[in-house]
Amino acid sequence: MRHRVFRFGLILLILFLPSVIFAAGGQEAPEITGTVSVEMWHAMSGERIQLIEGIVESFMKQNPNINVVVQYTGSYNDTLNKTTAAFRAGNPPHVFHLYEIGTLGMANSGMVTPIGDLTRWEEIDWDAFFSPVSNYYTISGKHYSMPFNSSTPLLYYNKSFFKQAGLPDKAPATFDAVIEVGKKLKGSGLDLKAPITWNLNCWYFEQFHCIMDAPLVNNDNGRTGTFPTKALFNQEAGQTIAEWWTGMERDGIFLDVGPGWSNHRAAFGSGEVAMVMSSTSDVNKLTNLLDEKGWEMGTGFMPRPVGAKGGVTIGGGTLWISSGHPDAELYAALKLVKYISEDDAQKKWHKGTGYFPVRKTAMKALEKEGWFRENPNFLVAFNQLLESPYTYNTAGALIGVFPELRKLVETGIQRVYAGEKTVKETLDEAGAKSDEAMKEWNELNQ
Amino acid sequence: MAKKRIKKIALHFLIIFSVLVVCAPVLLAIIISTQTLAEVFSYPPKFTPSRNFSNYGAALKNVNLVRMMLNSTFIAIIVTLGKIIMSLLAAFAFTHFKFKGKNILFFVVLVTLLLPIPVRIVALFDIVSKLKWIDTYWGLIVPFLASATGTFLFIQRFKMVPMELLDAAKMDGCSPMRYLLQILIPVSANTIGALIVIEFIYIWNQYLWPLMATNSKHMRVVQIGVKMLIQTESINNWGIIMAGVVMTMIPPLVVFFVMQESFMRGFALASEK
Amino acid sequence: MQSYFKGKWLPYLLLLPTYVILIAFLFYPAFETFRLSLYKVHPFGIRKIFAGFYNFRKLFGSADYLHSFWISFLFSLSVVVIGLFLSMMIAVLLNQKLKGQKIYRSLLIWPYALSPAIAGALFRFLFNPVNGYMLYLSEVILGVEPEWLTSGSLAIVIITMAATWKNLGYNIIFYLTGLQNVQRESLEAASIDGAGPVRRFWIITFPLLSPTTFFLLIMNLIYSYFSSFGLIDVLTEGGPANATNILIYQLYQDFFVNHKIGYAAAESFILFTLVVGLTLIQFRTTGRKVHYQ
Repeated sequence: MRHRVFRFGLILLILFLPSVIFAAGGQEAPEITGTVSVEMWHAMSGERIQLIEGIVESFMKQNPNINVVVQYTGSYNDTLNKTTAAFRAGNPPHVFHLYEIGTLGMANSGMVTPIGDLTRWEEIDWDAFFSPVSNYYTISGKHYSMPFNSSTPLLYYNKSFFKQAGLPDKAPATFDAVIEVGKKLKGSGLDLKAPITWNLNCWYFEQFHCIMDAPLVNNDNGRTGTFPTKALFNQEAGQTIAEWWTGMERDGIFLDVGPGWSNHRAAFGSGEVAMVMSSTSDVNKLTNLLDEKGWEMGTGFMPRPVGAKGGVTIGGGTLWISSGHPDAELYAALKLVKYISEDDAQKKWHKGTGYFPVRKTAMKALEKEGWFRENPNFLVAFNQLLESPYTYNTAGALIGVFPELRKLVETGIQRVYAGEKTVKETLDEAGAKSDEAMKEWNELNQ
Repeated sequence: MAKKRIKKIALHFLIIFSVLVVCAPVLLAIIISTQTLAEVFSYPPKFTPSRNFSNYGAALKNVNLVRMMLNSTFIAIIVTLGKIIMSLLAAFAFTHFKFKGKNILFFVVLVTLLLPIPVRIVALFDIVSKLKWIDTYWGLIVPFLASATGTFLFIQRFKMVPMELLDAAKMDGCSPMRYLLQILIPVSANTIGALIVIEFIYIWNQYLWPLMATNSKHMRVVQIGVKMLIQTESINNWGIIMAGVVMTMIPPLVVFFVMQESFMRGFALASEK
Repeated sequence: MQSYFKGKWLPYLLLLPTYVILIAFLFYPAFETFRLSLYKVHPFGIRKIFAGFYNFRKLFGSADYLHSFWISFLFSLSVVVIGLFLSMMIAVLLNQKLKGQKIYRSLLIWPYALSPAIAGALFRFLFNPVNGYMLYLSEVILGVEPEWLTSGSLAIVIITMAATWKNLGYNIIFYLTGLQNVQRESLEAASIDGAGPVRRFWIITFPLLSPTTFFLLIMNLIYSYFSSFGLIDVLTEGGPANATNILIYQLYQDFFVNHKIGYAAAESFILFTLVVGLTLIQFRTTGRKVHYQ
């Protein structure tokens, strides 16, 4: 019996071997004749605009027959809206940049060509990528978009303040330790508004779920091809996180600086708090800010409840290739996003912005250069990511209505700050509303 | 007499107090725009200006405000001109001709006041895209050329022109267009002045539409520059942001102050009788 | 007796440019948007399902949307009442014969030239919770450090202040012109009467200003319902906890962030009917006495 199954398998293998080889070896790529023009829209502002333009320049030098028009089109959300509108009008950019939480929405938008569908022309070595990075953008085994700028939260602390308060020179690692350190800082005579802060963003709430290895939504966090139908962030893990977070706010350990990505940095930089949680891409900025005041900065992993077994997931953005272009243009777009994800570009990108390089090979190259000896805080950020185990929960949730869900959670947290609701009430309410939104979204995406 | 003087002083005091309150936000913005990063982030905040103008350079460099101001100025001037011409023509038709459907057509103009951009932005974008006007001056100009405000202001002004003038002109065999050009337009100088202020400021201050309808850096306009300045500033260096804000306020304020007198008179018309 | 030029086609020709623009860029887009309010629409518009009044039913059944209604009402009421009161007072002061009257006038009406977004940026700077001037001033003067932008009730106070401040110039301009008209009519009456200035204001000036007041009431309502979008977007983004989430901002959220196009279309229609209602009231009550700006 076993023998026959084996023989059957052998026959199958022989029969299909040619096609397997064919698929792996790559289909003939479309020819790029003359000059192909490719448009790329991205959402990175400030000095990052020039950085991206520089990377694209060097791509064009390597590929003289591909002309890339690169444009900064505002925030992720602005870029998404413009792309959608341009798609309806029939002239979307070939490549566009989008936040991680838009992944499921984009995959079902009918506007994109999955990268996995194009790799028949040119292979991409996915194994070279950090697995949390490439996993996030893979749905049921298919790669949809190209990882570009990736980051996770990191806990930053003011070493000088810790010293003055007589605290050991390390970031608190657990929820309880944060409170304890917070209380000591409060009683230390330092002129702080509060010991710790981070901006009001659901991102942290999600990341703590990953750290606790708990799902945000059902159906394997939306990871296995079935759309999620029910929010699970109002369960035990969510409650633990929110109780800790809002409890600190209530007790004056946490400073509420509202949403947005600048107040919390400013509070840390001006010495109004001694600890801040923010993106790993802030290492440079925050180091410089503290430098200016003559303070030293340290970093640590995101704190976790005692016994939590998960790890961080990836945030940031990826590059999508839109649909509806001739093969030659799609091929040129593929070459572009591939180039941006490769080591040279990613090293440049990492050094200029503080975002992770998306590939392990790039990290190794940086290590060789001695980059981490000079910048130990980056190493902490990397290690936090590398130590993350892979589960559906740490891969990050795939939710069609993710932006709306985020807003619901953020609003809920503010309600608890204001004392209008308890944690349980607020999370249940946000959960019920998310369920409703998912139901409507699922109906339209059947 | 002394009582009267006290009253005067009290009045001056009250008005100066109001002026201070009204000007305070911008005064503080100017003060912070001259401070260094360390001063901006000091607490308690510093209430006196410094002599540091690097924030202005940084704001100009960060988001290319010069180009944006030129774009906004150009667009505002063209739209203002276009609006004035088109509303002159429309108001002339409404006041000096008898034709079928006049009331309905007038009502239609009225309704446009109730359709601000957010109410129609989706479909508007589709149309402008199909015309291939996204990221061009056309897309920022043409959809705004019609003006209900202008039409109403001119209708009111025209109605105040004595009827005898029209009768006399008709006796002389003056053609309608000549009447418009030589009689009506010259007497409407203040209305035109008011409209220049209203429309220039309206276009200069547009926010949502240019955000959607432009992509490339050489097409962006000034209000988006303000938004970009805030987004770009990773720690909210208010010195730089406010330097940008102060610069973007200057052109509409210049228009406003230069045209102030005729603006006030043109406006006065609108509420008279 | 009205007299006219002759011409059968000329008036239509004169109106043609205006109507081409109006139809192509105003009416057609608005109609299209309203049509979508009857559909459930895919986030990226690739599919739509006819749903009748589903979107409207859901909206009016949603506590958040009704909250938004209430906040909008509260906000606009405050902007109107506070704004009109202050600007009327200032206009009366400015109307006195004083040295430097014109300079004072200029210094008080110029915020009219600023955009709502700029006003938002200015107030965000003044009230920022990290090192804002107002944080410090309230500590010094009131002895407390209020959570200006992170507490819901205070955030409403701030957007009201910002919106009122920005529109003050506009209101003052109209009151000033109104007052100038009043003066001519009632100069003698007032001086014969011999009443005190405050009394004189209430029995003579205030009633005579009522058409202006009514006109400004409607204009300020429309301003606070629609034009304040840029202000909210820069200043509070509708937060904290939806405390400043007025209808226009909810519409923006549903359309541009949540991509619930059907809902957003329905909200557009609701807003439209709201303003039509307000405008009709204006025309009913004041006839053609005053005109729209």
